[in-house]
Amino acid sequence: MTSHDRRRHATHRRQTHSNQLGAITADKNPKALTNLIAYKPPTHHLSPAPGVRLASKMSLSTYLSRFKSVSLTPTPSESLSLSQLAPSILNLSITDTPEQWSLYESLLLSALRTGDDTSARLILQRLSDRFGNSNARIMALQGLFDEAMATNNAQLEEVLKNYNEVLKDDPTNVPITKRKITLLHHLSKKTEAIAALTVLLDLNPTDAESWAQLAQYYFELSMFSQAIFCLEEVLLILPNAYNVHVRLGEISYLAAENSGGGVEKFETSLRWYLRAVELCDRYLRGYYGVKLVTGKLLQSKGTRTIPEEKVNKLNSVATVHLNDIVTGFEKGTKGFTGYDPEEVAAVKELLAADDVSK
Amino acid sequence: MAQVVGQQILRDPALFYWILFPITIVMILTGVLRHYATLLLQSAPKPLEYKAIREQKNYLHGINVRGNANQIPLSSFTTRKNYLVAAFQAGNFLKDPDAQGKPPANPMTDPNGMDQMMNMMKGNMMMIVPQTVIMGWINAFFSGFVIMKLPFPLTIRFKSMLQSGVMTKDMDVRWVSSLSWYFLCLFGLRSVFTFILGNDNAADQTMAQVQQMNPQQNTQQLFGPGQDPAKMYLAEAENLEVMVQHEFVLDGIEDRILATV
Repeated sequence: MTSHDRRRHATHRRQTHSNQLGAITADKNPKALTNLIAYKPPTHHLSPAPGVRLASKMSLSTYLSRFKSVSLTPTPSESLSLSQLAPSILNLSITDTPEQWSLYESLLLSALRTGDDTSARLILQRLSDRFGNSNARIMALQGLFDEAMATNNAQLEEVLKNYNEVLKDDPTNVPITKRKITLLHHLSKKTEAIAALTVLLDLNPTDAESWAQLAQYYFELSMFSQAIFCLEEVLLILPNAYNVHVRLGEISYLAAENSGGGVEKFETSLRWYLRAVELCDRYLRGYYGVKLVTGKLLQSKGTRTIPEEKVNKLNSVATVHLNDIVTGFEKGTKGFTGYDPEEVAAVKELLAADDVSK
Repeated sequence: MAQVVGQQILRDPALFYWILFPITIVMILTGVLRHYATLLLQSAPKPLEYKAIREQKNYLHGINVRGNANQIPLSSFTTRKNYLVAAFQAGNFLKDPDAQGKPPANPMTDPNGMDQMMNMMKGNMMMIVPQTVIMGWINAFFSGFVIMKLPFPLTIRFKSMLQSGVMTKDMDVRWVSSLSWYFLCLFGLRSVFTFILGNDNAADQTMAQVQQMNPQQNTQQLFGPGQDPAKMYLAEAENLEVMVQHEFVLDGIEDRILATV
């Protein structure tokens, strides 16, 4: 693995907290002074990968919708195809609309993921020309760029030092705080990252993203009850986030397994899964969980609050839905596309194991 | 009875070119100028300091916990409730806990309030100064002219609106005086400005975008100048305390799911 590759992977991993930077709401047409920089695309860009339209006549909104169609954690090939749009996007005249700048941000992330440093530097330059170097969000993007440019841990420590200095001057700089936390975590200072994150949450306990991240950190340390607490906080902010319900189900399931597994604990997990399914039809992870936990419940003995007959019914309901999802996905039926192929494979495995046991 | 056809007043066509046009053009130009002057004068709102953000966000957290309590198990809710009630009552999240019980600070001496007031002043000045000048100009040069006739009849009530500056009792309401034309322009040009300057004109565009780039630095004051955060926290603690009803959404979920199948 070359250092280049490693860096690319590192950026991939470190995107989590920068996702918030991608969200800019639409606004009207502001009039502002913008530094226009003459840009000549690097020659290696000019041969696009097969399947990528050489997009010279696409409009801003077309590009935006392409970026939006990709998930928040794109696969390397998706990132590549997006980052190859860089020359054509950068050659568009700067209209200074919020859409354009949000497109620039997303493009910067893609460029960093794929190691297109030339474009990344230029995008960053234009963004900071427009919004100024002291803008919190630009600082975070700059930090992201520095992190991606760092080739070893010593350089990353240097970046971390920069963050700390910025935060000394302005402790309310949330984007930089978040970069610092992710960087700490990346440098395997997990407890420090958690400590910094709790300080941030003391400042702003209504930020769902931070709570979710903290839950993830606790989960990585197998501190399940803390992780569950954090996810409950997310629910207090976003009561209908079905993915958070599923995560709660998953973590309570693991916690139940870890602690020897009382029936009651599995039932808690099952209920979280059921809520997720109630909120979101055809939710693969939800039904997967329902199937998994009901299977577990049917095997285990103990006093249960949900009668066995109902558990059985729920199990078969989940089986039906999962079968639908698998066949729908394979045929590409409308409404069944967009599932993660790996998740579908996991479903198949679960269903097959179920058939064998019968 | 013969209907009065309407008053005929012979007007010099020069009135049209030398009064109606100039007033309209001057009004549009001042509008555009005012827009850009406001842009120049407006200063970016100052971001809140650490403790102020903390005070606001923790208050919101309390409201969130109360509003979405049914989403989490009763035991989780009770823990949070106990913690928050204790912390709120002790004033742990207050910006300056010492100020508790003291009368609220005078908004005139509060630096944050000053900033806001300064901005408001600037905005008002931008309205008042040009208006006074133009009004004076029109009064000095053009008062007393009847400059046009509306193509439709109006009731007598509009007389004061359309014929200000012309003291003629018997004149038909359809005649419009120059001063009234000024007023009509003043209040009626909004859509013209929207067309020229885009939406939300004098309310700054560029600032809105710069602000958008740092949404977390919310510069808005949750607590108005007159409100005492300490009291609001106490009230919120009480709200939390009296919450007895808790229906966990996950109760009976299995029946709900089975019922839909």
